[in-house]
Amino acid sequence: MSHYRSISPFTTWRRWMWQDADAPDAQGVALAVANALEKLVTRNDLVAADSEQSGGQDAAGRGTAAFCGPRRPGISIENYIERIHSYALCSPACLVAAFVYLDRAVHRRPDLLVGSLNVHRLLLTAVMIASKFFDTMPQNNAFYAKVGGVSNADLNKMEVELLFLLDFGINVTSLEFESYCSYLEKEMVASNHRKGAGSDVDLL
Amino acid sequence: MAVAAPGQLNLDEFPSWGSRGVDCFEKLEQIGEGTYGQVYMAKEIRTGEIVALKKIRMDNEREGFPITAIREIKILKKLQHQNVIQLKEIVTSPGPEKDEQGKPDGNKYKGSIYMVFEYMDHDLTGLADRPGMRFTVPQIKCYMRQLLTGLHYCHVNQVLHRDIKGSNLLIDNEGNLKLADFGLARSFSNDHTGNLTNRVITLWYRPPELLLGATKYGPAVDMWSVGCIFAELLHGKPILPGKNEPEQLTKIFELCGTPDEVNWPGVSKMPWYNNFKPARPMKRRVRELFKHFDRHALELLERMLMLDPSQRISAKDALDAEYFWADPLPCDPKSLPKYESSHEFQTKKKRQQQRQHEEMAKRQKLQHPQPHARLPPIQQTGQPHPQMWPAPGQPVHGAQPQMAAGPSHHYGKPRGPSGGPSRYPPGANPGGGFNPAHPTRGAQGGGYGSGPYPQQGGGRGPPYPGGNVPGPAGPRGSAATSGAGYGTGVGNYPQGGPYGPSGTSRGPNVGANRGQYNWQ
Repeated sequence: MSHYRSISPFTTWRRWMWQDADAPDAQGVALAVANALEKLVTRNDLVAADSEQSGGQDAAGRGTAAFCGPRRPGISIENYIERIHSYALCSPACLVAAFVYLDRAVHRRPDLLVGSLNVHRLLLTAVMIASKFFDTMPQNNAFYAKVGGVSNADLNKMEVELLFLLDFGINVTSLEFESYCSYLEKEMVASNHRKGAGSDVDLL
Repeated sequence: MAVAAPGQLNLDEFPSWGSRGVDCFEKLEQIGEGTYGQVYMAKEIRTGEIVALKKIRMDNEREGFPITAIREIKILKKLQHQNVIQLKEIVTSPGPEKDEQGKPDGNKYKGSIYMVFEYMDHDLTGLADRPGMRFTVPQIKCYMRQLLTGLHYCHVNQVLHRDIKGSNLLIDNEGNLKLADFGLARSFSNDHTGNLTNRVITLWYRPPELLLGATKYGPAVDMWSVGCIFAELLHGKPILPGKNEPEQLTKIFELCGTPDEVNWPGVSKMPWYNNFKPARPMKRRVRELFKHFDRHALELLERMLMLDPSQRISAKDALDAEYFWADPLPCDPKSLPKYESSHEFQTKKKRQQQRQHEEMAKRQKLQHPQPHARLPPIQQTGQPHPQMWPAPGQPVHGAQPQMAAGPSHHYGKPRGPSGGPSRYPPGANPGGGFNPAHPTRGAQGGGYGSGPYPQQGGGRGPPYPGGNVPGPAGPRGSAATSGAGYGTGVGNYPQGGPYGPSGTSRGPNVGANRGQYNWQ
């Protein structure tokens, strides 16, 4: 059911990891992840609104309530990712890995709707876990809490929740990494294309 | 990212780990303790099954969930083998725990996550240190084969254990041996490109390449440890009991000869080679010192204790060694004797009595120094072989200290970090009048234990706090009270993970000054 599997991996792990000349810069990665999440959130916010209207179940199910903030944060996903990345200095690969974790989490828990109320907290927690796992000198939780604008205790709680949600499956193989990179890249191209098409129309 | 429709059935395996609470288990007894947290023997209420519960300490708020614990869980989940300890599940304790005064503490997730392991009765060191214990040759072959089988499985799955030693080899009463304590373990890639820390593996079992500063290494590091254990089983005591890193290297060179470009191409390029370059060349003496071993055993040992890691035998090849296919053959684990179960763990009171007993025994030993007296294996002839090494003039077998035959887990006492550069502080314990053959035996911990996470940043810290220094724990016999069985050594648990100090903050206030986004 995951569409990324059908895409042949063409972005290589090394290009992203080692930042070759033609590798997307960290900002590009942040943008691509933000783009994909942005789309997801837009869609899920609609779904959540629907299910609320029809008196459906609470979108924030068991164990996922920890991520739900009281209101929409006033910072865009893109700016938030860039902020985390620029202060915590995690490697760009961690941003991709964080995206992988969120995807895994929603696969495991379909009732977890990544929406505008929880996407920031989920993202922060996922990036932090990825950095702890992949980076040689990760920042600690206290630091991430400050950067992300949540309390240390809350972030610790969310960390545990997400680890359990992922069933501690935090490894990302190079093949998976490549697939996700390809997916993000393709989504990026697609949305640029859409934007481009839009402006073409304007020109006409 | 795929989104499942609300309410869609999740066909994946579910419920996941952590969905059950620790109240599914009845805690029976604490069987280990350390900074990592306590280890309990417990009974699953529903099935009556006995398990070991290892608590993950969560009280360092700044670090959150310990990265080492994440790694250990991740690795254990991947490994499913009859010779690797099984992590059954992870459970949480519901709600905030209360502190001793009964006040709920502020930290919601403090100390409330447990790893559930299958329960094992003994560990190899504890078993070997039982008074009067003598392994038979088929028994040693049986344990060695299981150890190698388990390790081969790890290596095939690209996991380095990095803390192979007797107290991390758990043995049940069916004679099964399982590798435990993957707190230092790590995935590796076959090309050995990663920069790995060389502050791993308990000193006595640490291979020369790590002592010489290698940061690119592979499965051969574990095979050195296996060689040390193998020789220890046959010899009756640890063969390379160094007190610190330089002394450890010296002991290795005295046994295996000094490395040079002939027997170990590239050794002179090792980071710390020049610091430890031996003053004079020494000859390899493995065959000479262990000439009482049988031919096949010696042959295998020689190949395990190769200085050059690239020439060291692999677990797979070791399993094919003549040793395991020559008479006497390894016995069936089930045929091994069942030793007094460690389920009947002493109560604290009993333990205290034992400690007093131990104290007395120690005092007696001080008056009448006894050498190490773990017994070498029973040979086919049934005759104990003469002890060839080291100290000439030592009595061959000391009198057995008459100790209550307790459980064979190393128990209680914490040990220092295995990774630290100065695990055994020089002169930490000058030792009374006797010549300790077992300088820090008492400090060995392990089992489910998790003491030995390598120390961080500059690795300071003599591992043994003040009065607790077990030091030369005295000639054996202290098995019942020394070491830590399922022990969770006191090892400085680096919340930041073994690879680089995570505490080196780049100024945690950066967020605060630049407009924190606070939307709570």
